[in-house]
Amino acid sequence: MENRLLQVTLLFCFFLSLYLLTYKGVDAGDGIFHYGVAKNFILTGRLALPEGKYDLNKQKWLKAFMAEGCNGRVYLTLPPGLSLASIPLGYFGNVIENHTDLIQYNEVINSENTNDYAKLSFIRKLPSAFFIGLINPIVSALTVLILFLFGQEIVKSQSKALIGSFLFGLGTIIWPYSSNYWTQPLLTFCMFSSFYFIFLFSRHFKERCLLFAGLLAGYAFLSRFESILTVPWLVLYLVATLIYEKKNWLKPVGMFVIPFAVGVGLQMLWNLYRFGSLLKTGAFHQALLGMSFKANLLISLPANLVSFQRSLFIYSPPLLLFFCAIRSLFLAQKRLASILVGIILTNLLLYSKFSFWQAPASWGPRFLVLLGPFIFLPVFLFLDQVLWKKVLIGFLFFAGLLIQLVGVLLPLQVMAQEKYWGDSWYDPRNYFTKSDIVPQAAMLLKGKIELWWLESPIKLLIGMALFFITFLSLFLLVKNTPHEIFNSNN
Amino acid sequence: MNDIAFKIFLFLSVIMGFVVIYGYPVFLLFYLSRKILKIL
Repeated sequence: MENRLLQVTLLFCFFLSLYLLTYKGVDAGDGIFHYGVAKNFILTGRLALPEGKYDLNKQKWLKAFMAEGCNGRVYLTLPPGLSLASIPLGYFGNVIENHTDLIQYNEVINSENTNDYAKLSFIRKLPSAFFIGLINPIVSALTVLILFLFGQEIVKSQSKALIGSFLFGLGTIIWPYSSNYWTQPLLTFCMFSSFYFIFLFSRHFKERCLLFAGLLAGYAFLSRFESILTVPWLVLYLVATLIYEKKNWLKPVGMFVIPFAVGVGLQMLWNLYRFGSLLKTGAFHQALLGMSFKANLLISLPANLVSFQRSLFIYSPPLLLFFCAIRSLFLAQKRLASILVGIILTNLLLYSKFSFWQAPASWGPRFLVLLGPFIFLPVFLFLDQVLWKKVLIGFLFFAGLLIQLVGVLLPLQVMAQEKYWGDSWYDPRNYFTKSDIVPQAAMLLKGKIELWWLESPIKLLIGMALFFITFLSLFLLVKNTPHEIFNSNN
Repeated sequence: MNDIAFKIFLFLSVIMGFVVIYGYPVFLLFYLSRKILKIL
C-alpha cells in the first residue's frame, strides 16, 4: 500500500513537472474568454465577462460565445466548469501580477497596431493568465495517474501499468493539450475518472466510489454539456454490474445519479441567474440545435480516423494498439469492453456529426482528446515481452513522442498554417493529403521554440528545478517498480 | 431570488471543483512533504 502510494505520487510529480516545462497557456479564442471570466471574478466577484470589453451589437460573431443576461451584463455561454476550476490558481497569479511591473506587456496588449496573435503571446505571459491556465497540466497529469491505477487493476502488474502510462502520457495528444487552456483536458479527466470509479465499484463494491463517480460526471457536465451523452453508458455499466452480481441496484444507482444531478442542477441555477430560466443556457448551439449537427459523416468520420490533418491515430500513434488489444479485453472482461466500445463510438459519432468537427485553431482532433484514455485502456493487455510486440510498441512510442514534441515545443503556428493551407483549409477533402504538422514542424526546424522558462534568469532557475524533479521522480519510479514485465509473459 | 441562486451555484460548484480536481493532488503533495520531512 505504502509502496503504491509512493509510486502514484512519483508518477504524478513526473508528469506534472514535465507538463509544466512545456506549458504554454491561453492560446486561442475560447481560452481568452474563459480567462476573462475567471480574472473578472477574481477582481470584481462577478462571473461575467469584463464590463465594457465586448459589444455584442458591434461584434455580432461574439454571439457564438456570449449573451447578454437579464441584468445587462455579458455572460459567456460556454459551460462555466473551466473558469470555476481555474479560480483558485488565478488568485495566486493575481497576487504576483499586483507585484510585477507589466507596463511593457500592457502597452502591446492594448495597442491597436499589434495583431491578435502577437497580443495573445503577451496575454499568456501575464501572471494571472499563466496561473489560470495551469489547471490543464494538473488535470492532464491526474488523467495519466488515473489511467495508471486503472491499468494496474486490469493487468495486476505495476510495471505494465507504468509502461502503459508512459506510452499514453508521452506518446499521445494529451501532452500538447496539457499545455494550453482548452476545456478538453478537464472534460477528459472528469469523464475518464468517473468511468474508473464505477469500474472500481464493480471490483470492490465500495459505495464511496459511486459518490466520486457521480461528482466527476457532474463536473464533466459543468465543463462541457455534451458529456451528458456518456453518462447513460456509465449508468448502464453500473446497473449491469449490479444485476450480474445479484445486488440491489436502487441505492448504488442513486449514489451515482444524485451527485451527477447536483452538477446539472448547478448549471440550471446558473441559467436561472443569468437568463431567468432554468433551461436557457444562452448558447448559440442551443438556439440553433438543428444547425449544429450538419456535418457529412462520409467525410468527417474518415477524416477523424485516418486523415493526416485530424486523425486521432496520426496524432496519437500508440492508440493504434487498441486494435491489437480490444479482443483480449473482450475475452477478459466482456462488460467493461462493451461499455468502453459504446462510449468510444458514441463520442466518435457525436463529434463527427458536429458541424464544427474541424475544430479550427487547434492541434489535431481537439474534440477527440476525450477518447484518448478510453481507447488506450485495452492496450495494457497487449504489453508483454514478445519481441515483435516490443518492436511495434517502441516504434509507435517514438513516432508519438516525435509528433507530441512538434506540438509542445512551440505554440500553434496559426500564421504559418494559414499560409500553408490558403483556401484549401475550407475543403475537408484536403485533410487527407495535408496536415498542420508540416508548417508546425517547419517552424520548429527554424528554431522558433517558445518555452516560458527560457524568458528570464529567474524562470530558468524554476525550469531547472522542474527538470530536476522530472528526472528524480523518473529515477525513483523505475527504482521502486518491480520489473516483472521482463521476467514473465503474462 | 436570483442572487441566492448565484450564491448557491458559486458555493457548491467551487466546493465540487475543489473536491474532484484539487483534492487528490493536495493529498499526494501532503504525503510527499511528510515523506521528505521524515527523510530530513
